[in-house]
Amino acid sequence: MLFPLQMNTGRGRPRVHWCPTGSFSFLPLHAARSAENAEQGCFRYMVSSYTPTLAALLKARQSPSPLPVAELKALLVSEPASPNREYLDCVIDEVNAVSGVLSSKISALVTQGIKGHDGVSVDFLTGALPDAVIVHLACHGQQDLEQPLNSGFCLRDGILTISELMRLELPNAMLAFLSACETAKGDPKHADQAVHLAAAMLFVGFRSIVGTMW
Amino acid sequence: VSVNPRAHVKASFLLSVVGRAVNDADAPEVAKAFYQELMKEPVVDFDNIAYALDTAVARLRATGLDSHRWAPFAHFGA
Repeated sequence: MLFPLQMNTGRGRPRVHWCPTGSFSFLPLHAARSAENAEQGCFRYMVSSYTPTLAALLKARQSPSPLPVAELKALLVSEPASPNREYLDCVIDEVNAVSGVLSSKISALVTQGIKGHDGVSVDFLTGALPDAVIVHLACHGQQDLEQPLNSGFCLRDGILTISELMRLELPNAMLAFLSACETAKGDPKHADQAVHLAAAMLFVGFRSIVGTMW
Repeated sequence: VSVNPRAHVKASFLLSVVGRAVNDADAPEVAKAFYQELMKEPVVDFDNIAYALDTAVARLRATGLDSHRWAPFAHFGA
């Protein structure tokens, strides 16, 4: 069905799923706006989401029914000190802030990899993920362009790869928030890593992903 | 998971245009605002997630920041 898009606010704007291909992949279409008037942009007419393929979108949209907030289980992960990576100052505060918002509403599980402590291990995360409805990952990401399945999230004792995630049964996985704090900093070679990780999280079973394009 | 080399080139170009990565201070702000918005509803569903992120990013945009600060945050999937 075709209908004219009209400028509106809040839920007066329809949701739109972009499925860009070729050179349009990963362009921030949702941020397109008038050169003359910065307030006149795509975001006034619609609320944008992206999908790498239509099949991925259809699979993600299959049930579940809306989940009561009180029944949600959230796994909040910050790992500031993965090996051979720049220390991430912001991730501990970020997870503390998110925990503060969620803890009175849901049964939240927080895990922090403080510098000098044992940190978050790959085993811990693979063990905790199947229970989680919401997963918030604040850590470095790694993109392996030669072997995309080896891309993943940098933890204290190694990388939780996409191929390892694909082996897990994640029946409860609803939302993944990938906080790409500093992940692409000063490294144009890896500019699109967060986007690739977001798409990969769709393929391993998460239905809805918040990520960053750079 | 496949990698589209043309898209990769485009994304690299984009980064060189915008010149920098996500600002350290922005991700925690967007995350906090997103979950605050999400927790206002009695249930979590796909629409609530998408609109909650939109609200969180709009708040950052409303402070008058340059687009390279608010535009990276995006929603994927259902």
